[in-house]
Parts: sequence; structure tokens; C-alpha cells
Amino acid sequence: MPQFYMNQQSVTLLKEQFEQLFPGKWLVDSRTHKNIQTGIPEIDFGILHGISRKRITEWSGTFSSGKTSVLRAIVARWCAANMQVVYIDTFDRLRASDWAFVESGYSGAVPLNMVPSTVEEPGRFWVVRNLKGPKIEHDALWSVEQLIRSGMFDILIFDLGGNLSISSKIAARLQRSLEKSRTALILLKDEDFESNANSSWGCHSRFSFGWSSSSIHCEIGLSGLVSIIPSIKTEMWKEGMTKNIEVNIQSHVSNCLFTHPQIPDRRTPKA
Amino acid sequence: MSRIACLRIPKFQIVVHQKREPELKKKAFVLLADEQKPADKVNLSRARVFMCSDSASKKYVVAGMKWTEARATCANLTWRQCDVKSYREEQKNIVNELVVCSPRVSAREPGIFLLDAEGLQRLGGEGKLCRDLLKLVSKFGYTNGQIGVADSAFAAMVASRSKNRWHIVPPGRDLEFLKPLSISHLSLDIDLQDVFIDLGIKSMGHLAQIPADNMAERFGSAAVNAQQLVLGFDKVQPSVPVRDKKFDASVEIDGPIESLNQTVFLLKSMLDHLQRQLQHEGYCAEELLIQFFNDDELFYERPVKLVRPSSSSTFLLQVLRLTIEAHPLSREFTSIKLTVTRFCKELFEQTKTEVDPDLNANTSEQQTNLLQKFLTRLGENSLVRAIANDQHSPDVAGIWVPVFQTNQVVAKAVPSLNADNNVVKNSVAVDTNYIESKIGKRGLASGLVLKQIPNAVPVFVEFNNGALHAIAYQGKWHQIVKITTSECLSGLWWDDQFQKSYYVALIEPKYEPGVCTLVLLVRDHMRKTWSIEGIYD
Repeated sequence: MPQFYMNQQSVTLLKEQFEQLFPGKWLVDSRTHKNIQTGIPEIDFGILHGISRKRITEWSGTFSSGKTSVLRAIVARWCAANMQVVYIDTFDRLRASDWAFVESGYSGAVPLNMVPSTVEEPGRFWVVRNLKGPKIEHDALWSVEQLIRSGMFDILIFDLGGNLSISSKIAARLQRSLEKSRTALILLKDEDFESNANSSWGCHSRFSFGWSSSSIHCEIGLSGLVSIIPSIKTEMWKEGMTKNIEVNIQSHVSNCLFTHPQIPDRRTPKA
Repeated sequence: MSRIACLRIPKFQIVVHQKREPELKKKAFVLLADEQKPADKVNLSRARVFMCSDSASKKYVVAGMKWTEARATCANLTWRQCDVKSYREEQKNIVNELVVCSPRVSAREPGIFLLDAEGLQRLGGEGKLCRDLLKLVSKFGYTNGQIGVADSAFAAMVASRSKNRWHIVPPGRDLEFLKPLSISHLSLDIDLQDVFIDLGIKSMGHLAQIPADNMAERFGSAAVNAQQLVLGFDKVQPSVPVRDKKFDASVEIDGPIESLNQTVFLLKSMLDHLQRQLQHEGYCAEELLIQFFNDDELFYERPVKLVRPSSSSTFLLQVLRLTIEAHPLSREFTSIKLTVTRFCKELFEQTKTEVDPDLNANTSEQQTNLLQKFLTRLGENSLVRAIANDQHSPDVAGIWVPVFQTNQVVAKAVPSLNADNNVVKNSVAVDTNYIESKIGKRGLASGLVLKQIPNAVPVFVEFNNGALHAIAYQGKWHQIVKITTSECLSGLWWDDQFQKSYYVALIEPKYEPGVCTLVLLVRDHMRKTWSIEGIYD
């Protein structure tokens, strides 16, 4: 099976190279196409053919399962392809440093089989945050609808966390808005350990993520372990068909460097 | 080496007219080449004969004659005007039928079809293909077809001109077949052809013998192309035919209708049907044709051009309503037909988002509306972008900046700690060039995505032989499966001092093995506490 994946990746790479030589003949331009390609061959050429515009895709997994890391790598690729992405961070959980270079096409941990891309004209990555108060759910849903209707974004990611859920009524309303737009809506959902794939309403396709306990990549440094990156198991679902894949992640060890030449003035500490 | 079959239907245009009007089969008739004008406005005194039927040929009418000359030659001669559109349609129909004989079929000039004849050795051979093709086209009224089979399309087309019903050039013998034949088979310029004949180059064999360099130098690219055809270098290949898409809807009513409201009601249901068809295929309408009939009599026909392609039934209905209001129906109708005459692929490209710090700048109204809505309902900090901040502590290594201010931050490159804005004031621009030069672009971002827990969760920690062994988190004991060495960071002593050791730990509930969680475990040395500040997802 890994040999098969490698072949798929090689074919995709070859297509990319041919596309550079003979533009417009080898690759589908996700900006203008119905399905948005992710750069992961198993998603783009399997049962799903990428992420569908005008449809709801569920991106779920346990609280810690690698789903957001995979999504960030894909978002970086979309931005590199000059697509506009917006993320509704309902519970203000994202850390800015993790997403600072996404628009430039860099995302930290990247699936090993992801086809590399080059940035020519970067797209935008905006985040909706600071939704406070008792009506947080209403505000989040209002934001989703407004962003879809604006017709400015190719992909909208809505973080439902573990508490929010999409009822049939809301799903129908979102679907109506999506029909009039060209946006792909991704519902990012944390599932409980005990729940049995309690999917949201109206999803066109579904991804379910989880760490693979059998395959954990550890990086050894000078004084011991410096990074732990488990592989990610993914189950894809569409119209009753399912497919399981395992995504191996690669990332280098974080390296904090002072790049700013100016040293802070230590003579005036705060009182 | 490929094998290509060419089906030639002589006088294809004549046969099309005879099929349409069977009474023409017994008459001498010609086609006049004045296709720019409608049939009732053809200037007969100037029109020339483009093609003539067999009956007309027998009476010495030839192509190129003026109509008056042809009429003088044959008194009972009738004429029809060339109808290129119907020839094309007929060709498409034939191509769609020929697919049963070969998957790759292309139509060339009127009456010429190329087919892939490869791999027929075990399917009866090329002779059987020829017989099948002739039998098939005879069913549709084309009884005088001829077929040529060769390695290249050009040789096959030449072979199809032979006197027999079919001529098969053996594989690899194209040049031998073409050598004795006249250069008139090559569609050369008349002047060039005359030059060749004057020089004694009368057959294709002669042409093939001339060195290519000399040919290009003396006679130009047209002669080189002709020589390449003779030598078998013909790029023309049959391709898989693409079926034409048609989007139309029609309604027949029992009784006549005249009122606009009833008409709009009918149009609505038709447009819903069209919208489903278009969206299913991924197309948008560019032009519609609306036709009203009264007992099969067409009395109202109007093309409706759209400003932009659309598949929305609501929009199309409004356009049609306005059209009918502007040009009212003259009488009642019993049926409507709606056809999408022009359509294009639906494009999914979105509006560009360029935020200018100058609020008076020319941004799209759509974008301004969106930003204004967020600003009014959720506040300025609701719509943000992530900007890198040159700090070693992970919490402050990036900042969220409202989209209105983003460009200001980037533009000023932020060494200015005295800037007015609070967010800008606390940020330090990252020298990305420095990082790229030292450790490459991968140094800009690393690791998995951390999802912060708003208030760090305090945990109990169990040590075993001086090493972290387990933690109590969410009311359960979790065993530490793997843990990194600590990353000890301290700083910001002039503002809000911190001294922390950061660990990335893979934990697993002690009594529910198999469900692992990757957490950021932090030892705060100043407060002497252990806590989980975030979870890697």
C-alpha cells in the first residue's frame, strides 16, 4: 500500500512539473474549479476529489488528534495558490505564532506525502476571534453566514470545539447560503473519546482523525528527546464510501532565534 | 505505428440536401456559394456554383460556373444555398454514430472522417472495419462512401480517393503507396504547384527525394510541410468525440395563455429545471433564447444576452420578465420553449481581498460592507491576521492584528516601539531573511498546532526515579508515554517576568489505554506550579 501512495505522489509531482512547462493542461486550478485540491494525493484523487465548494465538509477528531495540524498545512498550500481562507476561532484557542507564516506558504509540520508548492501571489488568511459574551454561538453562526455571503473567501473553517453542534435547521440555512456562493465550508469539530462518530447534519464529506499509537516519530537532540510527532490516522467518508489512510508528519525542531538586532533597554525596568 | 482509417463521403453537402428534401434526388441541382446572405436575398446574377449534383454534372454543369451560365447549360436546373451549419450538425451526428466502430473519431472537412484503426487484428481485421463502416453510413443515406486505411491520416485520405470502395495500404508502406501519385493530392498553393511541375517534380516520390534543407531554402515552409506529409510525419490523429451539451426546457399548455403572471409562473418552473441541469453539469448560461408558439406556429422569438454568466433561476427569471415587459407578446400562446444558446463553465474564483489601511481607498463595496458589519457588531478586534513577533517566548512570538491595521504593521516593519497603536507598539518585526539565510525557510515555522487552554489547567505530577512519570489531569491519572527534554525560557523581566520550563508530553489515561493526547506541560518556576497550557492538535 505505501508503494501505491508513493506512485500517486510521484504522478502528482510529475503533473506539477509538466504544468510548469505547459500551463493549464496538467493540473486543475483550484481557484476556478469546483473541487479544491489539498496537495495530499489520497484526498485529491481518492473518493473525494478534494474539498467541494458550496458544500459542508466535516473535519473531526478527538481534542488532540492532529486534525488542525493537517488542516494548517493544507491552508498554507491554499494560501500559496492565492486562495482566500478565513478561520472562525470560536473559543480563541489558536496561537498567533503557529499561523504567522501560513500566508507565505509555511506551516511547520507538513504531511510527508504532500506535494510541495511554490508561492507566486499569496492569498489571505484571516481569523475571526474575540467572540465573547453569552451569545457566542449566535455571533459565530452570524459570522459564518456573513463570510459565506460576502463571496470573498474560497474556504471557511468554522471551529465548533467540543460544545457547539450544527442542527438540521442551521445546516439547511448554511447550505442555502453556500448554494449562492462559491465557498467551501469546513466544520472543525472536537469529538469526545467515547462518542461514536456523531456527525453533523448536512455534511457532504467527512474526515475523522486520530493519532496512530503504533507509529511515533521522535527526534533525539544533544540532551535527549526534543520532539514527538505521532502519525495521524484518517478516515475519509463520502456518500457511504470510506477510505482509511495514515498521514506521516514531518517537522524540524523549533529553533528560537533572536533576529532583531536591537537589544531591549534593561536600564528602565517597569516599576 | 498507428493505423488510421479515413471515411470519405463524396459530395457530402449535396447528399445532406437530398436527405432533407428527397425530391431533389431526381433533379439536377446546384449549391450556390453566397452563404453570407439569407436564401431570399441571394443575388443570382453574381452567385457562383459551389457544388453540383450528379444529374447536373451529367448536363455539363461544373463548380465555379456563374449561376446564369449554369442555367443556360441546363434549363431545368434548381439551386439551394450552402448551409454550413446543417453540414456541421450532420457531421456531428455521423461522428456520434461512428463511435460504435472505433472509440476515436474526428470530423475533418465536410464529408471526411478519421477513425482509429489500431488493434483490429483479432477483431476481423481492417477489411471488416471498412465493411462495417460502409454498412453503417449506408443506413443513414450515405451510400457512396469510400474508405482508405494507412499509417498516417494524409495517406489514408489519399487512399480513400481510390476507385474501389476501400483501399488498405499495408503497414509501413505509405511512402511506396504515395510515391507514384501526383502532387495535386497535396493541398499546395497553385503557384507553388506550378513551380514544381515546371521543375519536373510531378509525383510525391519526386518531392520526397529532395533534401529537406534545400526544400526549406528554396520553396519555404509550405513545401517542407508537404514533404513531411509524404514522408509520413502527419500529426493529425482522430480523437475521442465530445458530445454536445444541450440545455433547454419546453412546456405545452392545454389552453391558451396571455397574462404576464401566468407566463412568469411557467417560466419559473422551466428555469428551475434549467438551473438544475446547468448546476449538475457545472455550467452557467450566457445567452437564452425564448420562443412562444401558438399551435406549432412560432410567433415570438427573442435572444436574451446576459451581462454576466449565471445559473441562478431567480436572476434569469427577472431578466426574462423584463424582456417580456419590454417587448410584450402580441397574442396568446399554447407552448413555450426556453433554450440556453450560449453557456460557459462555471467559474469559482472569488473576489480579491486587499485591505488598504486607508479607509477611503478604493476597495470593493462588498468588502467594505463585510468589514463594516464586523466592526459594528463584533468590534475592531474580531477580524484579525497573525503577524510574527520577534520574541523567544511562544506565547508572544506572534500577535493578532486587526485586518485594518495589518498593512500598517507590515509597512512600518516595526522597529518603532514608539508607534501610536497599542498592538504595533508591542511587536518586533521578524527578520525573515536572517532566518532563511541561517537555517532555511523551514525555520520560520515548526511543530504541530497548539490549541491554547484559556486558563492553564493546574496538574499534579508524579515522579519516578527523578523523572516525570504521570500527571493527574481532568480527574484522571495519565501515564506519560513520551516526554521531551525541557525547554527553559525566561525573560520579559522588565515587563512581566517569567521563568518556565516547557515539555511536550504524550500522555495516555492509565485505565483507558490507546487514547493518546499530546500536551504542552509547563513548570512555572516562579509560582512553583505544574500546568497544561495547551493541547497539540
